[in-house]
Amino acid sequence: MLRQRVASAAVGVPVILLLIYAGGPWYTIAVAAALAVAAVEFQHVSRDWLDPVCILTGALVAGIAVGARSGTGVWAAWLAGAAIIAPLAALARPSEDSKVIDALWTLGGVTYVGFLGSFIVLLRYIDADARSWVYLTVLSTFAVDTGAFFIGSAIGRHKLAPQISPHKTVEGLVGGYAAGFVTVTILAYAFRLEMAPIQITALGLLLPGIAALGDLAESAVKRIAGIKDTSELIPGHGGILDRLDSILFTFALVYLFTQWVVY
Amino acid sequence: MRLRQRRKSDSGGPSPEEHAPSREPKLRAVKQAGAVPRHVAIIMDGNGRWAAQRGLSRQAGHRAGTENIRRIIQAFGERGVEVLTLYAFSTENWTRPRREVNALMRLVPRVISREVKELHKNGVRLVHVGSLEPLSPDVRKKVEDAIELTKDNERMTVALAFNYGGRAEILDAVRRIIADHVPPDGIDEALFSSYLYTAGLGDPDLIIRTAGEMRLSNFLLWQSAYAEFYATPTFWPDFDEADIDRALDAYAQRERRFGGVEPLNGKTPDR
Repeated sequence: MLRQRVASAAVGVPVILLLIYAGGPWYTIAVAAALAVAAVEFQHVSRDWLDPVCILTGALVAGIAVGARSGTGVWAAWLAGAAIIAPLAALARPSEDSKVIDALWTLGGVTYVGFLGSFIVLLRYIDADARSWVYLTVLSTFAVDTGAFFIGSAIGRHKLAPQISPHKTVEGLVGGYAAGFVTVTILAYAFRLEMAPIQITALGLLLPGIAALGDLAESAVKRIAGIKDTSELIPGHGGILDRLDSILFTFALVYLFTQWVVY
Repeated sequence: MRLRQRRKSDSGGPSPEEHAPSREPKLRAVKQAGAVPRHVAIIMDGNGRWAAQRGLSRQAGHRAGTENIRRIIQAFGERGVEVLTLYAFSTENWTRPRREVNALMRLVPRVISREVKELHKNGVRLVHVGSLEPLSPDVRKKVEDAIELTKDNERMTVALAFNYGGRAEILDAVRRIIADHVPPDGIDEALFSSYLYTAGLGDPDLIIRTAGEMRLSNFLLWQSAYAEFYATPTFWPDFDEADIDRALDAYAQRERRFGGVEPLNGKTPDR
């Protein structure tokens, strides 16, 4: 399992770093495609992969992500449209025993994957140092996950939230926090981002916490649905949604941080 | 004998690594008592009610239920059970809403193709109990391929009772016995058993039913003659290692007499 995990990361991480470096339309397209798959995975909890509502939600989420590239006005229009269309489609095409919860679930897919995921696009096209900000966000989030994984497996004893996720430990959280803080600090200086030391410290303290929160949020969703991995697309990692869990939250944080605090 | 009771909150799919230290003593404790059932059969009930309780669709319940199968096979394997029969879809379930039946039909080959590699690696032999005939050709092929791939594995046997009905099985056996021109006085229990879908698996020692119902529902009618029955209110997707330990615990405390006076625990009666 660990070997698979490392092998997948060895292939995936360079591709991701390259896409971030390239930027332009390819970055937006790749993010939109990944988010579409994640949205389908989210929907798959209560429907088949090829269910029209599953596909439609995926397409709408891709639209939201591409819309984000065209400015916040277009983005808002896509968001509002998707938030109306997806639940209506779910009601129009009920699953075996139609439930209002089914419709709400599609709304959840649109907002959770589509809205939060758009920040991955938005951050790449901010005015200054966009590429560096994205690198910082991605690498710091990976550092939190990796730190938590290794420290947690090595010395993890105290359960963090056994009702939500039985394998997360307090030790892992602390390990992830330390790894995240250090990575944010180092990268902020390495990229010469325009941040005061106090701002760097603040981001270093916020990001690992938000990453852990994103991780727990997705675990809670899976816990409710009684599933372990959302799909088996990435060997050793589960589905795309399983990998995006903390990314969705940290990109939103860093984007808002750049808009409200830094610039 | 007291097994370590796992807390309910531990149920979220424990990894094999996590179990490595505790597996050995657990196995020994049960084995010493001489009361691990050789063959356990489970009626997996309650997916729909589990989902309804959470406001989810029935399909979400079936999905969560199939995820649980992997964990349960592993847990029974660790506890030294040789044969595990899982009652997945009965001949009567065809009367359910079409959409649900279709969803179930798609779920089964998907589960098999997803799990068969892992089962094969762990030395699990997969067999099917029931009739494959009404299934679509590609579902059928998936099942047959999986059975063929794992047929030489010896560590554990998992029998999937899919599209199975106990009465249909008995009728089928009678038809084939007659077709084979077996003389009436040549028919005994052993011969009859060998004509059943479960030929070679042996009778179940313990039948577990989840979700609180207290009936066999046309499951292993002939084979269950002397099986111990254990029912738990837990819905199938929530059925976890703590429930398994409780069931095995209850089994170990029963005296099995097979109609005689002396308990025959751990021994097979002469028939």
